[in-house]
Amino acid sequence: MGALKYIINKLLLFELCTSNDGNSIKVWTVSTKRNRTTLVEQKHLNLKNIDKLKNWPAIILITGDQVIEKRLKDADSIQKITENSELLWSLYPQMDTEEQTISFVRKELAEELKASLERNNIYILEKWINKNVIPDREQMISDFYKRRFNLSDVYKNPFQANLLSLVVYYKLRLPLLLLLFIILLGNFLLNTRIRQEYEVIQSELYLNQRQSKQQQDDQKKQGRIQFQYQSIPNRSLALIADRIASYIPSQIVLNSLTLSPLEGMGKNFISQNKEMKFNYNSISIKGETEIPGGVSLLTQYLDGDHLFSNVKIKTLIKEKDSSRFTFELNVELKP
Amino acid sequence: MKTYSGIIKLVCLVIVLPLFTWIFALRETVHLYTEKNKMQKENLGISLRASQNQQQQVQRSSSRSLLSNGKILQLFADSMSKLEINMINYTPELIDSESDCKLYLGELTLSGKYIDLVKMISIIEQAHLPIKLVSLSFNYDRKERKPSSFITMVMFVEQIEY
Repeated sequence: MGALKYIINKLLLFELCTSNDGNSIKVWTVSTKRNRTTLVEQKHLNLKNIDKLKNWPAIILITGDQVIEKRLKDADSIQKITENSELLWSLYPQMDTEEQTISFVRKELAEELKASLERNNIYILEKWINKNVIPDREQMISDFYKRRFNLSDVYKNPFQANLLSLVVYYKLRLPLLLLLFIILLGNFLLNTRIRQEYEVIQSELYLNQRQSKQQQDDQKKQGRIQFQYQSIPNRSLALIADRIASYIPSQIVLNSLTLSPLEGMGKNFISQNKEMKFNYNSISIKGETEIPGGVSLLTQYLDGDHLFSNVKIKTLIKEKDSSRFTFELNVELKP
Repeated sequence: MKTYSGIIKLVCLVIVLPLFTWIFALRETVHLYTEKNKMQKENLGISLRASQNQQQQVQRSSSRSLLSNGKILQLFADSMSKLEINMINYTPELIDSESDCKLYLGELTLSGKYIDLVKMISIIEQAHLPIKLVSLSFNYDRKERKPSSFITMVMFVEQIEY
């Protein structure tokens, strides 16, 4: 079976039986399920109460005495019938011969049925004309479904495509709208929940960002203090003091030895110096001697040590009324 | 137009309506959801960094304060008495601070024999305390006529306290 079976699995079959005494209409519902086509005659339905079947697709089958059936070989003869706007026709090609069977009927016979169906929005997919009073309906429906349905047909026959679209539209309308409604409802609930979570997280994030910025600022500021602290060299002052003491000649008396002196030293270092600056690589040695040569000897010793460099005598002054000399040395520490 | 009414209706139902549903309803929810996830990740990162910082802070604050509370004197009291060193003066001073990070400078004045004072410095250095010896100054005033073994030493020590 073709794709039509999936698109149209329920349709109506209106059978118009024509006779010289009058016409009668039978209504059938056709349903397909798992490759099985079922036709059920709806005896209670007639043209007056078919409004219950609004938006259904339908096929019209015209049978009976008023139908004329001819076997024609000649294409011109067939064309004469098919081009006649007053006639409804169906063409049945014969399997073995070149002949074709054409069944036709006057259009006015089906006008009332057609108008009634259009009034009730029942879409006529096809019209079949058959002379046979008891036609093989199942076979005809089966042949209808077997027809191939592809997009090129849609382009070729926009009217047919429109009908099929309407059928699909009415078939999908309710479930799709229901699905969209459920999706929208779910979306509303989800949106409300996500929005609440979003707002909570947003405020948390704002607070955290503020705290983080504060922490970063603090760390930056603390980094300055830590840098200041880290810039104090890690050297053994005990070793330096011991080394200097070992170089002091016996004729020298030391008065003061300062390792890393504070710039602008006073009696109360801390209160007087708001900005504390220590010369970490500097040593100041003050003392007195009676023999100035002792000072030279001391500078020689210090110069010879790999710990020290740039040993300089800052002052060497003879004291008044005394044979003593006071001196001051500046020594640089090698980094 | 009537010829295509079915096609138009079907297109509206199958394409336009879902498209409008996406544009005016679902898209915002999806956007909100992705934004929420993005913020959640960012928040997690910040919280992680904050907790690491807090841990560091706890570790720092658990390190002993020695200068501001004078505990340094208590630590080396035994050594000073053994080496016969006298403590003359101790002045701790807050010289710099940023939030809870404080830089203290302690001025400690000791007196005793030069060799013992050097030994004392060596003991302090080898104790591996969270302090740094900044400056040393040995002084002997001959005019005060004190014994030559009596030397005063001014020692400056720094510590960062949290």
